[in-house]
Amino acid sequence: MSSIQTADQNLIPGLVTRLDEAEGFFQKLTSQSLAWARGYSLFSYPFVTACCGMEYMSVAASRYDIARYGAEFPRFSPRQADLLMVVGTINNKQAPIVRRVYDQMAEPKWVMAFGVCASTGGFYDNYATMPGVDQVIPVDVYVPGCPPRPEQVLDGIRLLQSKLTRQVHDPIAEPPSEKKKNVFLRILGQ
Amino acid sequence: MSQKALELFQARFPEDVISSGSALGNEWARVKPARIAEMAAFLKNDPSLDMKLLSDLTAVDYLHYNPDKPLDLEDPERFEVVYSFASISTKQRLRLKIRVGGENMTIPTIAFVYRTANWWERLVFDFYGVKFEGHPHLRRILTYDEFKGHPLRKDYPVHLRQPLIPERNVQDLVRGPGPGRSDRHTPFSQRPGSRPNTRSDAYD
Repeated sequence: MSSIQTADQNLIPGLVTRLDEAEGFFQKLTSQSLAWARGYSLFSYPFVTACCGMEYMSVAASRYDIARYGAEFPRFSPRQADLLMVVGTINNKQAPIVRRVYDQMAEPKWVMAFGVCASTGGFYDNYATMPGVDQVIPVDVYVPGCPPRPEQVLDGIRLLQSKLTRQVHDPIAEPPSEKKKNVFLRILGQ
Repeated sequence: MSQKALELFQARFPEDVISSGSALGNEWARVKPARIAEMAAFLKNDPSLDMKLLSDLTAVDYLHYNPDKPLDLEDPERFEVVYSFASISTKQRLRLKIRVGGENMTIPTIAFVYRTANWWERLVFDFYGVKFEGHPHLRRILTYDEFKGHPLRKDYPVHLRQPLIPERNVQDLVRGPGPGRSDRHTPFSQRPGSRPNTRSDAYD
Protein backbone atom coordinates (compact mmCIF):
# COMPACT_ATOMS: atom_id res chain seq x y z
CA MET A 1 0.00 0.00 0.00
CA SER A 2 2.99 2.28 0.33
CA SER A 3 3.09 2.97 -3.38
CA ILE A 4 -0.37 4.61 -3.36
CA GLN A 5 -0.04 8.37 -3.01
CA THR A 6 -3.25 10.22 -3.63
CA ALA A 7 -6.15 10.48 -1.24
CA ASP A 8 -8.60 8.99 -3.73
CA GLN A 9 -6.44 5.99 -4.27
CA ASN A 10 -5.98 5.64 -0.52
CA LEU A 11 -9.68 5.16 -0.22
CA ILE A 12 -9.88 2.36 -2.71
CA PRO A 13 -8.07 -0.42 -0.86
CA GLY A 14 -10.24 0.15 2.17
CA LEU A 15 -13.40 -0.06 0.09
CA VAL A 16 -12.19 -3.14 -1.75
CA THR A 17 -11.20 -4.85 1.44
CA ARG A 18 -14.62 -4.28 2.91
CA LEU A 19 -16.23 -5.51 -0.30
CA ASP A 20 -13.99 -8.57 -0.16
CA GLU A 21 -14.98 -9.11 3.41
CA ALA A 22 -18.62 -8.80 2.51
CA GLU A 23 -18.22 -11.14 -0.42
CA GLY A 24 -16.24 -13.53 1.67
CA PHE A 25 -18.93 -13.51 4.30
CA PHE A 26 -21.61 -14.05 1.68
CA GLN A 27 -19.58 -16.79 0.06
CA LYS A 28 -19.02 -18.53 3.36
CA LEU A 29 -22.68 -18.27 4.22
CA THR A 30 -23.69 -19.63 0.81
CA SER A 31 -21.11 -22.40 0.96
CA GLN A 32 -22.17 -23.48 4.40
CA SER A 33 -25.86 -23.34 3.55
CA LEU A 34 -25.33 -25.28 0.34
CA ALA A 35 -23.14 -27.81 2.12
CA TRP A 36 -25.71 -28.21 4.87
CA ALA A 37 -28.52 -28.59 2.36
CA ARG A 38 -26.66 -31.01 0.15
CA GLY A 39 -25.07 -33.02 2.91
CA TYR A 40 -28.29 -33.68 4.77
CA SER A 41 -30.52 -34.40 1.80
CA LEU A 42 -28.50 -36.95 -0.15
CA PHE A 43 -30.79 -38.56 -2.69
CA SER A 44 -29.18 -41.91 -3.30
CA TYR A 45 -29.49 -44.15 -6.30
CA PRO A 46 -28.74 -47.74 -5.20
CA PHE A 47 -27.14 -49.66 -8.06
CA VAL A 48 -27.48 -53.05 -6.41
CA THR A 49 -25.88 -55.99 -8.20
CA ALA A 50 -24.89 -58.49 -5.54
CA CYS A 51 -25.15 -59.71 -1.97
CA CYS A 52 -24.18 -56.31 -0.51
CA GLY A 53 -27.76 -55.40 -1.35
CA MET A 54 -28.88 -57.25 1.78
CA GLU A 55 -26.66 -54.98 3.81
CA TYR A 56 -27.97 -51.96 1.95
CA MET A 57 -31.50 -52.99 2.92
CA SER A 58 -30.36 -53.27 6.52
CA VAL A 59 -28.86 -49.79 6.37
CA ALA A 60 -31.99 -48.37 4.82
CA ALA A 61 -34.36 -50.13 7.21
CA SER A 62 -35.37 -49.01 10.65
CA ARG A 63 -32.66 -50.59 12.79
CA TYR A 64 -29.72 -48.67 11.33
CA ASP A 65 -31.80 -46.13 9.48
CA ILE A 66 -29.82 -44.14 6.95
CA ALA A 67 -32.59 -41.53 7.25
CA ARG A 68 -30.97 -40.26 10.44
CA TYR A 69 -28.31 -38.73 8.21
CA GLY A 70 -30.74 -37.31 5.72
CA ALA A 71 -30.17 -39.91 2.99
CA GLU A 72 -33.49 -41.58 3.54
CA PHE A 73 -35.01 -41.38 0.09
CA PRO A 74 -33.64 -43.76 -2.54
CA ARG A 75 -34.57 -42.50 -5.97
CA PHE A 76 -34.79 -45.12 -8.66
CA SER A 77 -34.07 -42.66 -11.42
CA PRO A 78 -30.55 -41.35 -11.91
CA ARG A 79 -31.96 -38.00 -13.00
CA GLN A 80 -33.26 -37.34 -9.50
CA ALA A 81 -30.32 -38.68 -7.54
CA ASP A 82 -27.08 -37.09 -6.46
CA LEU A 83 -25.42 -40.03 -4.69
CA LEU A 84 -24.71 -43.16 -6.72
CA MET A 85 -24.23 -46.12 -4.42
CA VAL A 86 -22.56 -48.95 -6.33
CA VAL A 87 -23.57 -51.91 -4.21
CA GLY A 88 -21.92 -55.13 -5.32
CA THR A 89 -19.71 -56.66 -7.95
CA ILE A 90 -19.36 -54.86 -11.26
CA ASN A 91 -18.22 -57.01 -14.13
CA ASN A 92 -17.06 -56.06 -17.59
CA LYS A 93 -20.49 -56.63 -19.07
CA GLN A 94 -22.09 -54.25 -16.58
CA ALA A 95 -19.48 -51.49 -16.73
CA PRO A 96 -21.12 -49.63 -19.66
CA ILE A 97 -24.40 -49.61 -17.74
CA VAL A 98 -22.81 -48.09 -14.62
CA ARG A 99 -21.06 -45.53 -16.77
CA ARG A 100 -24.36 -44.63 -18.45
CA VAL A 101 -26.20 -44.31 -15.14
CA TYR A 102 -23.42 -42.07 -13.84
CA ASP A 103 -23.58 -39.92 -16.98
CA GLN A 104 -27.33 -39.56 -16.62
CA MET A 105 -27.07 -38.13 -13.12
CA ALA A 106 -27.22 -34.34 -12.84
CA GLU A 107 -24.37 -32.38 -11.28
CA PRO A 108 -23.42 -32.19 -8.47
CA LYS A 109 -23.05 -35.93 -8.01
CA TRP A 110 -21.11 -38.22 -5.74
CA VAL A 111 -20.31 -41.91 -5.82
CA MET A 112 -19.96 -44.39 -2.99
CA ALA A 113 -18.33 -47.78 -3.62
CA PHE A 114 -20.21 -50.09 -1.26
CA GLY A 115 -18.21 -53.17 -0.29
CA VAL A 116 -14.87 -54.53 -1.47
CA CYS A 117 -16.17 -55.74 -4.83
CA ALA A 118 -17.19 -52.26 -5.87
CA SER A 119 -14.02 -50.81 -4.32
CA THR A 120 -11.33 -53.17 -5.62
CA GLY A 121 -12.97 -56.20 -7.15
CA GLY A 122 -12.68 -58.08 -3.86
CA PHE A 123 -11.60 -61.68 -4.15
CA TYR A 124 -12.56 -61.80 -7.81
CA ASP A 125 -9.46 -61.68 -9.94
CA ASN A 126 -10.53 -63.14 -13.24
CA TYR A 127 -11.68 -62.56 -16.78
CA ALA A 128 -15.10 -61.18 -15.85
CA THR A 129 -14.84 -58.85 -12.88
CA MET A 130 -13.77 -55.23 -12.98
CA PRO A 131 -11.19 -54.48 -10.26
CA GLY A 132 -13.17 -51.69 -8.65
CA VAL A 133 -15.81 -49.45 -10.09
CA ASP A 134 -13.28 -46.59 -10.14
CA GLN A 135 -11.97 -48.11 -13.35
CA VAL A 136 -14.91 -46.47 -15.11
CA ILE A 137 -16.31 -43.73 -12.84
CA PRO A 138 -14.71 -41.51 -10.17
CA VAL A 139 -15.46 -42.61 -6.61
CA ASP A 140 -15.67 -40.34 -3.53
CA VAL A 141 -16.06 -42.82 -0.68
CA TYR A 142 -14.87 -46.41 -0.49
CA VAL A 143 -16.60 -48.58 2.11
CA PRO A 144 -14.67 -51.83 2.65
CA GLY A 145 -16.12 -55.05 3.99
CA CYS A 146 -17.56 -58.21 2.52
CA PRO A 147 -20.25 -57.16 3.06
CA PRO A 148 -19.67 -54.01 5.14
CA ARG A 149 -21.37 -53.67 8.49
CA PRO A 150 -24.17 -51.08 8.43
CA GLU A 151 -22.12 -48.96 10.83
CA GLN A 152 -19.36 -48.81 8.23
CA VAL A 153 -21.83 -47.58 5.63
CA LEU A 154 -23.11 -44.91 7.99
CA ASP A 155 -19.48 -43.95 8.62
CA GLY A 156 -19.06 -43.66 4.86
CA ILE A 157 -22.09 -41.38 4.68
CA ARG A 158 -20.60 -39.21 7.45
CA LEU A 159 -17.29 -39.10 5.57
CA LEU A 160 -19.07 -37.97 2.43
CA GLN A 161 -20.92 -35.33 4.40
CA SER A 162 -17.68 -34.02 5.87
CA LYS A 163 -16.31 -33.85 2.34
CA LEU A 164 -19.39 -31.92 1.23
CA THR A 165 -19.14 -29.44 4.09
CA ARG A 166 -15.53 -28.68 3.21
CA GLN A 167 -16.45 -27.72 -0.34
CA VAL A 168 -16.25 -24.01 -1.19
CA HIS A 169 -18.85 -22.64 -3.57
CA ASP A 170 -18.17 -19.43 -5.43
CA PRO A 171 -21.46 -17.53 -5.63
CA ILE A 172 -20.19 -15.20 -8.36
CA ALA A 173 -19.25 -16.82 -11.60
CA GLU A 174 -16.73 -14.15 -12.66
CA PRO A 175 -13.08 -14.75 -11.93
CA PRO A 176 -11.86 -12.56 -9.02
CA SER A 177 -9.30 -10.54 -10.93
CA GLU A 178 -11.87 -9.45 -13.50
CA LYS A 179 -14.33 -8.67 -10.72
CA LYS A 180 -11.88 -6.47 -8.87
CA LYS A 181 -11.00 -4.68 -12.07
CA ASN A 182 -14.65 -3.83 -12.64
CA VAL A 183 -14.96 -2.55 -9.07
CA PHE A 184 -11.96 -0.29 -9.58
CA LEU A 185 -13.36 1.06 -12.80
CA ARG A 186 -16.75 1.72 -11.24
CA ILE A 187 -15.25 3.53 -8.27
CA LEU A 188 -12.97 5.58 -10.44
CA GLY A 189 -15.91 6.49 -12.68
CA GLN A 190 -14.41 5.09 -15.86
CA MET B 1 -26.87 -97.28 -7.21
CA SER B 2 -28.03 -97.10 -10.81
CA GLN B 3 -26.31 -100.23 -12.01
CA LYS B 4 -29.50 -101.42 -13.66
CA ALA B 5 -29.76 -98.26 -15.70
CA LEU B 6 -26.16 -98.59 -16.85
CA GLU B 7 -26.71 -102.22 -17.89
CA LEU B 8 -29.85 -101.29 -19.80
CA PHE B 9 -28.00 -98.52 -21.53
CA GLN B 10 -25.07 -100.73 -22.45
CA ALA B 11 -27.39 -103.40 -23.78
CA ARG B 12 -29.10 -100.86 -26.00
CA PHE B 13 -25.90 -99.20 -27.33
CA PRO B 14 -23.22 -101.90 -27.14
CA GLU B 15 -21.02 -100.56 -29.93
CA ASP B 16 -21.12 -96.89 -28.80
CA VAL B 17 -19.98 -97.37 -25.21
CA ILE B 18 -16.19 -97.12 -24.99
CA SER B 19 -15.91 -97.74 -21.27
CA SER B 20 -18.06 -97.51 -18.20
CA GLY B 21 -17.75 -97.62 -14.47
CA SER B 22 -18.99 -96.45 -11.12
CA ALA B 23 -17.44 -93.78 -8.93
CA LEU B 24 -18.79 -93.16 -5.41
CA GLY B 25 -22.09 -94.72 -6.41
CA ASN B 26 -22.43 -92.68 -9.60
CA GLU B 27 -22.52 -94.70 -12.79
CA TRP B 28 -20.85 -93.27 -15.85
CA ALA B 29 -20.27 -94.36 -19.42
CA ARG B 30 -17.83 -92.93 -21.92
CA VAL B 31 -19.52 -92.93 -25.31
CA LYS B 32 -18.90 -91.97 -28.91
CA PRO B 33 -20.47 -88.66 -29.90
CA ALA B 34 -22.27 -89.67 -33.09
CA ARG B 35 -25.49 -91.06 -31.60
CA ILE B 36 -25.78 -88.89 -28.49
CA ALA B 37 -29.22 -87.55 -29.42
CA GLU B 38 -30.53 -91.08 -29.84
CA MET B 39 -29.05 -92.06 -26.47
CA ALA B 40 -30.63 -89.07 -24.77
CA ALA B 41 -34.00 -89.92 -26.31
CA PHE B 42 -33.65 -93.53 -25.10
CA LEU B 43 -32.80 -92.44 -21.55
CA LYS B 44 -35.67 -90.01 -21.55
CA ASN B 45 -38.38 -92.19 -23.03
CA ASP B 46 -37.60 -95.71 -21.85
CA PRO B 47 -40.24 -96.50 -19.20
CA SER B 48 -37.82 -98.33 -16.89
CA LEU B 49 -35.32 -95.46 -16.99
CA ASP B 50 -37.62 -92.44 -17.32
CA MET B 51 -34.79 -89.90 -17.04
CA LYS B 52 -36.85 -86.82 -17.70
CA LEU B 53 -34.30 -84.50 -16.07
CA LEU B 54 -31.06 -83.36 -17.65
CA SER B 55 -29.58 -82.09 -14.42
CA ASP B 56 -26.26 -80.92 -15.83
CA LEU B 57 -24.32 -80.55 -19.03
CA THR B 58 -20.83 -79.23 -18.69
CA ALA B 59 -17.28 -79.76 -19.86
CA VAL B 60 -13.82 -80.30 -18.39
CA ASP B 61 -10.55 -79.14 -19.91
CA TYR B 62 -7.85 -81.80 -19.39
CA LEU B 63 -5.02 -79.74 -20.88
CA HIS B 64 -2.71 -79.91 -17.85
CA TYR B 65 -4.16 -83.13 -16.46
CA ASN B 66 -1.26 -85.39 -17.32
CA PRO B 67 2.02 -83.63 -16.53
CA ASP B 68 4.08 -86.19 -18.47
CA LYS B 69 2.20 -85.53 -21.68
CA PRO B 70 3.49 -82.65 -23.82
CA LEU B 71 1.13 -79.68 -24.08
CA ASP B 72 -1.09 -80.10 -27.11
CA LEU B 73 -3.87 -77.59 -27.70
CA GLU B 74 -5.23 -79.65 -30.57
CA ASP B 75 -5.37 -82.88 -28.59
CA PRO B 76 -8.42 -84.84 -29.85
CA GLU B 77 -9.16 -85.92 -26.27
CA ARG B 78 -8.64 -82.55 -24.65
CA PHE B 79 -12.20 -81.77 -23.53
CA GLU B 80 -14.67 -84.01 -21.85
CA VAL B 81 -18.32 -83.03 -22.16
CA VAL B 82 -20.35 -84.49 -19.31
CA TYR B 83 -24.10 -85.12 -19.45
CA SER B 84 -25.85 -85.87 -16.17
CA PHE B 85 -29.24 -87.50 -16.53
CA ALA B 86 -31.54 -88.09 -13.60
CA SER B 87 -34.88 -89.68 -13.03
CA ILE B 88 -37.31 -88.40 -10.46
CA SER B 89 -39.67 -91.39 -10.65
CA THR B 90 -37.17 -94.28 -10.65
CA LYS B 91 -34.50 -92.42 -8.61
CA GLN B 92 -31.68 -93.28 -10.98
CA ARG B 93 -28.80 -91.26 -12.32
CA LEU B 94 -26.51 -91.80 -15.27
CA ARG B 95 -23.59 -89.78 -16.51
CA LEU B 96 -22.43 -89.84 -20.11
CA LYS B 97 -19.01 -88.52 -21.06
CA ILE B 98 -17.73 -87.59 -24.48
CA ARG B 99 -14.12 -86.77 -25.27
CA VAL B 100 -13.60 -84.12 -27.95
CA GLY B 101 -10.83 -81.79 -29.02
CA GLY B 102 -9.12 -80.24 -31.97
CA GLU B 103 -9.83 -77.27 -34.16
CA ASN B 104 -13.35 -78.11 -35.35
CA MET B 105 -14.74 -80.23 -32.55
CA THR B 106 -18.45 -80.81 -32.81
CA ILE B 107 -21.01 -82.91 -31.00
CA PRO B 108 -24.58 -83.46 -32.24
CA THR B 109 -27.01 -81.39 -30.22
CA ILE B 110 -29.58 -82.86 -27.85
CA ALA B 111 -31.50 -79.59 -27.65
CA PHE B 112 -34.40 -81.18 -29.50
CA VAL B 113 -34.62 -83.97 -26.93
CA TYR B 114 -34.20 -81.90 -23.76
CA ARG B 115 -35.22 -78.27 -24.09
CA THR B 116 -32.98 -77.31 -21.18
CA ALA B 117 -29.99 -78.51 -23.18
CA ASN B 118 -30.42 -75.45 -25.39
CA TRP B 119 -28.93 -73.15 -22.76
CA TRP B 120 -26.52 -75.75 -21.35
CA GLU B 121 -24.96 -76.23 -24.77
CA ARG B 122 -24.71 -72.49 -25.26
CA LEU B 123 -22.89 -72.31 -21.92
CA VAL B 124 -20.43 -75.05 -22.89
CA PHE B 125 -19.86 -73.31 -26.20
CA ASP B 126 -19.35 -69.97 -24.46
CA PHE B 127 -16.86 -71.19 -21.87
CA TYR B 128 -15.08 -74.05 -23.66
CA GLY B 129 -15.67 -73.52 -27.36
CA VAL B 130 -17.21 -76.92 -27.99
CA LYS B 131 -19.61 -76.59 -30.90
CA PHE B 132 -22.92 -78.43 -31.00
CA GLU B 133 -24.03 -79.40 -34.45
CA GLY B 134 -27.65 -78.64 -35.21
CA HIS B 135 -28.18 -76.33 -32.25
CA PRO B 136 -30.94 -73.84 -33.11
CA HIS B 137 -29.23 -70.75 -31.65
CA LEU B 138 -25.60 -71.40 -30.77
CA ARG B 139 -24.13 -68.14 -29.49
CA ARG B 140 -22.58 -66.88 -26.26
CA ILE B 141 -24.87 -66.92 -23.27
CA LEU B 142 -23.01 -65.34 -20.32
CA THR B 143 -20.14 -63.37 -21.80
CA TYR B 144 -20.71 -60.70 -24.40
CA ASP B 145 -20.48 -61.06 -28.15
CA GLU B 146 -17.29 -58.96 -28.28
CA PHE B 147 -15.50 -61.47 -26.05
CA LYS B 148 -12.60 -63.24 -27.72
CA GLY B 149 -11.61 -66.73 -26.68
CA HIS B 150 -13.21 -69.06 -24.19
CA PRO B 151 -12.53 -68.11 -20.56
CA LEU B 152 -12.67 -71.49 -18.81
CA ARG B 153 -10.13 -73.08 -21.10
CA LYS B 154 -6.88 -73.77 -19.31
CA ASP B 155 -4.91 -71.81 -21.89
CA TYR B 156 -6.96 -68.63 -21.36
CA PRO B 157 -4.72 -66.13 -19.49
CA VAL B 158 -5.78 -65.81 -15.86
CA HIS B 159 -5.80 -62.02 -15.68
CA LEU B 160 -6.91 -61.20 -19.20
CA ARG B 161 -9.95 -58.95 -19.04
CA GLN B 162 -11.69 -57.61 -22.13
CA PRO B 163 -13.40 -54.37 -21.09
CA LEU B 164 -16.19 -53.01 -23.24
CA ILE B 165 -15.50 -49.34 -22.52
CA PRO B 166 -12.19 -47.51 -22.01
CA GLU B 167 -10.99 -47.57 -18.44
CA ARG B 168 -9.63 -44.71 -16.33
CA ASN B 169 -6.04 -44.63 -15.21
CA VAL B 170 -6.36 -45.08 -11.45
CA GLN B 171 -3.91 -45.89 -8.73
CA ASP B 172 -4.00 -49.36 -7.26
CA LEU B 173 -6.21 -49.21 -4.18
CA VAL B 174 -5.01 -52.49 -2.73
CA ARG B 175 -1.30 -51.87 -2.86
CA GLY B 176 -1.54 -48.13 -2.37
CA PRO B 177 0.61 -45.42 -3.94
CA GLY B 178 4.16 -46.17 -4.92
CA PRO B 179 5.89 -48.47 -7.35
CA GLY B 180 3.93 -51.54 -6.27
CA ARG B 181 5.15 -55.10 -6.31
CA SER B 182 8.57 -55.65 -7.74
CA ASP B 183 7.32 -58.48 -9.95
CA ARG B 184 4.27 -56.64 -11.22
CA HIS B 185 5.65 -56.55 -14.76
CA THR B 186 6.55 -60.22 -14.67
CA PRO B 187 3.95 -62.24 -16.52
CA PHE B 188 1.83 -64.36 -14.24
CA SER B 189 3.00 -67.52 -15.92
CA GLN B 190 6.64 -66.80 -15.17
CA ARG B 191 6.22 -66.21 -11.44
CA PRO B 192 7.29 -69.04 -9.14
CA GLY B 193 4.65 -71.63 -8.51
CA SER B 194 2.46 -70.73 -11.45
CA ARG B 195 1.43 -72.84 -14.34
CA PRO B 196 3.04 -72.43 -17.76
CA ASN B 197 1.51 -70.16 -20.33
CA THR B 198 0.55 -71.95 -23.50
CA ARG B 199 0.10 -68.84 -25.60
CA SER B 200 3.27 -66.83 -25.93
CA ASP B 201 1.46 -63.80 -27.38
CA ALA B 202 -1.12 -63.53 -24.61
CA TYR B 203 -0.96 -61.11 -21.72
CA ASP B 204 -1.31 -62.76 -18.35
